Amino acid sequence: MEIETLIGDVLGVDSNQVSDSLAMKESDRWDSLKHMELIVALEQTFQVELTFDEIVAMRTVGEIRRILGEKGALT
Amino acid sequence: MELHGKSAIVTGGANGIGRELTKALAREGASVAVIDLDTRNFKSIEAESDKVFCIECDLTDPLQIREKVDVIYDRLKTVEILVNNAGILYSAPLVGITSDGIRKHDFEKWDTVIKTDLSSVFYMTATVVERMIKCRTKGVIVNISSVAAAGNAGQSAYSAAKAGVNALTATWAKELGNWNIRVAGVAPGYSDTDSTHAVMGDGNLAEVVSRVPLKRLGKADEVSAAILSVVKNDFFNGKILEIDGGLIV
Repeated sequence: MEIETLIGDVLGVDSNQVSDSLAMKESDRWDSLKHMELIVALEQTFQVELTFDEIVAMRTVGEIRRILGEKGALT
Repeated sequence: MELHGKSAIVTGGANGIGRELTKALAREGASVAVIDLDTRNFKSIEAESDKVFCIECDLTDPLQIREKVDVIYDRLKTVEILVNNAGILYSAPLVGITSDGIRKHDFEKWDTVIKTDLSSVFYMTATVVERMIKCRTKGVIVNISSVAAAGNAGQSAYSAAKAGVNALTATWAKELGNWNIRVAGVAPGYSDTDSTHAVMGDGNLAEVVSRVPLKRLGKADEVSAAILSVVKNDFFNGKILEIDGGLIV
């Protein structure tokens, strides 16, 4: 599954609206509870375990992509 | 949850049900930090098991809680189990007629009970869960409620505090499930502890016992066994286990 599709599903927005610049602080659908839903979905879908620091850093789609890429989850 | 090698905090662990629970957790191989304001039994508790240590703390003071939780983490490194057991029992009607005339519930007593039985649970849990989340600890919070949460005549403050504890239990179970942290409660009925006898008086307790189908008070080890089962059962979440001998049926 593509990141955009997964994030769109969790946040309840069309995946076309999900770009790397989409940020937690600018989305009224992306609050702290949704963030944890997103983290669980990312961990299950991409078979990774995220650290607390990584979870805190994942506040934009671009950062999510970067961190998952660094963990080798997007290959 | 297998308890061997795990670490627990038991508030109000120096007496009654909390002390029985502390013994049970240690017997199962868990390390236990007892937090209590009453230090009289600390030496004897620590002498019973090298897996238990005691810390004095006023749980109505968030700053003290932070300091003491830091001390516990320095020693235990991690905490998987928090049992919010500390509390006080207080009985008084909203407005009562006494030999001196009409008397309303003491407002300061109301504040004290709410702080001790409800706010302390909030402060303690927030402080420990913050650490659990940072360490990504899979853990369990058990809040000790009471069957009084349904409303007990003559116990406005206590009933309100315990109803609040039940609401927090449900709320936190919903919030913290994604972090792999369970939150559940245990609601004892009337138990055969020093504090119950002191507050209720033997005459009132006899009347209560007459309404319990089993015609007796609960024993501290029976209630602690119920708490232990909630700690260990990984699918018990967001609910309150009532253990009252059938008082509320």
